This record gives sequence, C-alpha cells and structure tokens, in this order.
Amino acid sequence: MGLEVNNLKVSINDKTIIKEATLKVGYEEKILLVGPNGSGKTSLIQAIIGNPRYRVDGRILLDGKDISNIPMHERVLLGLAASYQIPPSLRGLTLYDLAYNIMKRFHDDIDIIKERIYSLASSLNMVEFLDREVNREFSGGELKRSELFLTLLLKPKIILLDEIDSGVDMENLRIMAKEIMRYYKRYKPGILFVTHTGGILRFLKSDRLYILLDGFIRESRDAENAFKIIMESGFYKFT
Amino acid sequence: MNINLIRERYRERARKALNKPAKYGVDIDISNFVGRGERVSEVDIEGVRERVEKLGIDYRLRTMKYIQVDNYIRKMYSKMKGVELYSLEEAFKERPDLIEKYFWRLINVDEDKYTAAAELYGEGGYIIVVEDDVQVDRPIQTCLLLSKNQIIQAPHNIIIVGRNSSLNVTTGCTILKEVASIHAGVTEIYLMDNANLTYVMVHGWSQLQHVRPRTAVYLGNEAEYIDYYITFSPSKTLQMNPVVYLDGDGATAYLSSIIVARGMEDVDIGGTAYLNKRNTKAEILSRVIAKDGSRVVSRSKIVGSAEGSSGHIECDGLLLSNDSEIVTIPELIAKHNNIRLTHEASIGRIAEEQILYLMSKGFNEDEAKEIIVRGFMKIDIPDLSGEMRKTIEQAIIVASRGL
Repeated sequence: MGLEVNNLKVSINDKTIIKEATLKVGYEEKILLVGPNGSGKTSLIQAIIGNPRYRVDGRILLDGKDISNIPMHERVLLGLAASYQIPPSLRGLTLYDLAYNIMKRFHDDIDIIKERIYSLASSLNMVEFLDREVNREFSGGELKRSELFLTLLLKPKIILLDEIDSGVDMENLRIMAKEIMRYYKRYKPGILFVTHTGGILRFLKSDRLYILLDGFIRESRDAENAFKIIMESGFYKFT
Repeated sequence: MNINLIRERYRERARKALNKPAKYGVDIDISNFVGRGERVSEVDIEGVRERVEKLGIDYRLRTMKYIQVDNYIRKMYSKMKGVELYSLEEAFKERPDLIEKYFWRLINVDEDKYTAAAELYGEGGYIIVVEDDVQVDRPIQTCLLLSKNQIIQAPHNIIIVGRNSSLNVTTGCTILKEVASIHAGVTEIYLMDNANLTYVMVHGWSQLQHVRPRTAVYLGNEAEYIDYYITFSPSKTLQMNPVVYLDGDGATAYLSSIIVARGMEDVDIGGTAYLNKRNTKAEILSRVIAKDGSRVVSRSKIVGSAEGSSGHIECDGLLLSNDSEIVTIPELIAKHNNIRLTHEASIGRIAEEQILYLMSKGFNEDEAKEIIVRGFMKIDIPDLSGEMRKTIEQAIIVASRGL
C-alpha cells in the first residue's frame, strides 16, 4: 500500500520527459530520488501530484486506488502531497491565512487551528513569517521551510519533497529534518525526497534510492552507499 | 447674509447647470428621474437590516445611525458626547452658522447636472459635527437605500471633525428593491488641524442603477483622511472622483477603491489630490476587477505644489473575462522641485501558476481563484483601526464571492 507508480510516461508540450517510470513509496519508508539536472525529477513529482500541464500515460495508485485521472486538489485531499521546488508568491494572502484555510478542513475550533499553526510554525522557525505574504520576498531557505510547513499541515500520508534541502543552511536543515522525523514517527507516512546535495541525509536515514536517468528509473536498495558512489563517480556509474 | 437668500443663490446657479454633463462617465438624461417617490411602507422597511448586512456591514446598534430610504430619513440618532447630528433641514433652522460656513464650500453647486440636481431635487442628508478633542472610536453608521423607480436620491452631507478629534464612519448604500434610479448625493468633509477621519463606503446596487456621488475633503494641519470605497454588485453606470485638498502642513490622505465590475457595468472612478501645503502626502490606491462585458476607467490625479510633499498612485487591474475592459489613467503634476510623485500600474489576469500552486494545497479551482482575487483586493493602510479593518475585510469577502 502507499503510492505506486507503474510505467509512467510524462510529457509536456508534446515533449516526452520521462519514458518509463515505475516506483513505490510505501508507508514508513524514506526514499531518495536523485538524478542529474534536467532529468525530470520535478516533472515526475508534478505529474504524480496531478499538475494538468503534464500529460501522463500509465498508472498512479494511492492505496490501490487509481488516481491518475482525478484532479490535483482531490489527490491532495486523499492524502498525497508534494512541496514545490520554487513556489510562486501570493499577493495579499498571509502565510497564516493560507495555513488557516488549510486547517479549516480538519478542525472547526479556531483555537485549536491557531494552536496547531503556531506550534508547527514555531518548530520550523517560521512564526515571524505568518503575517507575511506567502513566499513574497522569502529567501531560498525560507521558501523551503514555508513549503515544508504547508505540506505538513496538509497531514499527508504520502509526501513528495522536491529539493527541500537545496540552499538551506545547516542549522535550518537540522530543524527541518527534526520536524520531518517527528511527523514520520507520529503519522508513519511514506516520504520521497528529491535531493541534489543529499544535505538531508546528514540528519536522517533513507531506505532506498531511485535514480532518474535518460527518462528511466533505476532502483538501489542500499541508498546510503549508492548516494556515496554517485557523489564520487557520477550518475552514470549505475547504467 | 440671510440664509434663505444664500440658498436661493445656489439654486439659481444650479438651475443653469441642470443640463451640464459630468466631466467623465456616461451622460444620463436626468429629466426622466425627477421626483421624490412615495414614503416606503413599514413592511418594506423590514428589509433594510437584511440588505445592509448583505454588504457585510454589522447593523447592530451603533452609537449613532442615519438611515435614509429614497428621499425620507427613516432613522437618525446620536448617543455620543461631543458629537452633534442634524438633518440638513434642521441645520437650516437651528444652525445657520454651519450652513453659511460649510454648505457648498468644497464642491461647486454648478459642477455638473448631478450637483445641480442634488441642490434642486435632493432631500435628506446630515451634518455631523465632532467637537475639538473628542475621540470617537466606535464607528458611526449611515445607510442610504433605494426602493422606488425613476427617482433621484441626492442627500447633502457635511462632516466636520474638530481639532485633535477622530471619527470613523461606515456608509452602506444599496437597494431595497430592484429599481432603476439615480443615487447621487454630495458629501463635504472638513478635517480641522490634527483631526482624522476614516470613511468606509460599501456599495451594492442593481443592474439598473446610476451612481454619481460627489465628495470633497478639506484637510488642515497634520490632519489625516483615510477613505475606502468598495463596490461589488453591478450598477448600470457609476462615476465618481472624490477630491481632497491638503490645505494644512503635514496633512495626509489615502484614497482607496476596490471595484468589482460585473454585468454590462460602465464604471469611471478616480480620485484627485491637491498637495497645497508643505510636507503633505497623498496616496491614491485602486484595485479593479472587471468581468463579463464591463468596462472600468480608473483615473487618479495628484497635483503637488508645495515643498516636501509626496504623492503616490497605484492602480492594479485584474481582468476575469475577455469581453471586459480596464483603462488606467494616472496623472502626476509637480509644480515645485522638492516634490516626490510616483505611480505604478498593472493590468493582468490571474496567473495559472498561482491557481495550480493553491490546488496543490488541496483547494479546488474556484476556491483557489477566490483566494487569489481576495488577496488582490487587499489594500493595506497602516493607520486603519481594528474595527474598520474588519469591516473592510468582511466587505472583501462578500465582494469576492462567485467571481
């Protein structure tokens, strides 16, 4: 159970980016997805979450249910969530208001909502951003924290984190990893980390690793070792 | 001078201007609209509260209220110390001094056919006088409703805020029934030294309505004026251009308008500020949303003629359909070299990227659009009090529904 992607082909504007991808993210799994720049990692994440700009063939299953034809927001309500690598800014909308609108789905009590928002924001060092417009004039690291904050508020069962560790300093990376692990222990989700630098690996262990290369996916069961080899010798060591 | 003689002189000038079109906006043949309508029955009056609350305005008991339906005053009371309230009619009898000093002093009676009609056919209107050194925190409420066809509703209002005093006014103007009438009306506002006024107007009309309010504001030294105009249900035509005269050193004015144009509405809206004294500051801020076959012209003008003054115009437009149109006309005039005048304008549509982003947070497309539109409408003014901020937020929520 969890997320299953079978023989997925992803195209945008008639250009095929991913020829065939098959992957699984089970509950209580922490998985890495790596690949060179432009290999299509973000496209794959966006295709799985249901961004309509991507044309998708193949099947995406969440807990055995085929979700490949349902709209993005419904996939999110079913428990699938993806963070944005570069989220757009939203004018006139504070981070608090967006968080509030999300939390309204789970709670009626304003005090509870407020408490949850402040408690998560405080763990992620985001309290001072709650009154700011969403993503507006946020630094690179702040964008990542804001995305993680909103993604965790969605209470997802399967989490796709797109380069959540890029451009984040060590201290904040530690804070983020701690919060991810707290969520992981409490809710036992499946998590897929897209990473370039492997920064997040300093603070948590991963179970498996997928490499996206030339439109295809390969899997390694020894994530730590595989990542080390990639860092030293490059992606094509695995072809 | 005898007060009746003064009035007769104004009326003489008004009669000559009865056919004079306004400078901007669609010209209307007002001869079809003369007449005061009949007194509204008590049954109809029941709907007032409901209608006003539909604008997002809290109708509960206020310390001061003025309600006019068509051309009849339905309710008028003030329970506040230091604040006097008169109907215009009463003021003519009891306070000729106020009339002489403040009546038609900021707006020319022969400015156009609507000011002329207000003088000749208009009825109702109030004079609010806040004494010196009085802080009125609770907003006072005025409501104007229309229930009859083919009439002109044109009260003449005067607000005087004394030195070191402050006042908040919420005005709701709407219809009691679907009617085709003209809502005009004159409002002259005087802010003495160090006085401040926040004036929030929320308008909701029918598709047959013509709307032509005329407003002008005088500001003394260090006075501050904050004005919010929000309109969201379609009228047929709407034209207004409030003018503020910053006639005291260090005076500040913010003119903000949030316009949602729907149906086949024709809107011509603007604001004008004269920076006549040193270190004055004016900002004219507008957010225009146009949908269906509506057309909106948003014009703003700041004239700076005194040292150290500054002005800023910001007009942003959002087109929600292909058959609507937005025109922005910012105008800056500087007559001194130590003046800073700026403007920025933009017109666009909702960015797809933002919709998708919100959908990735679990909102459906309509919810996402509503969140984006609501954010677009927000105009932040630092000095706004908590209660007035709430009134505006509530009006924006109502305004962004179903776009």
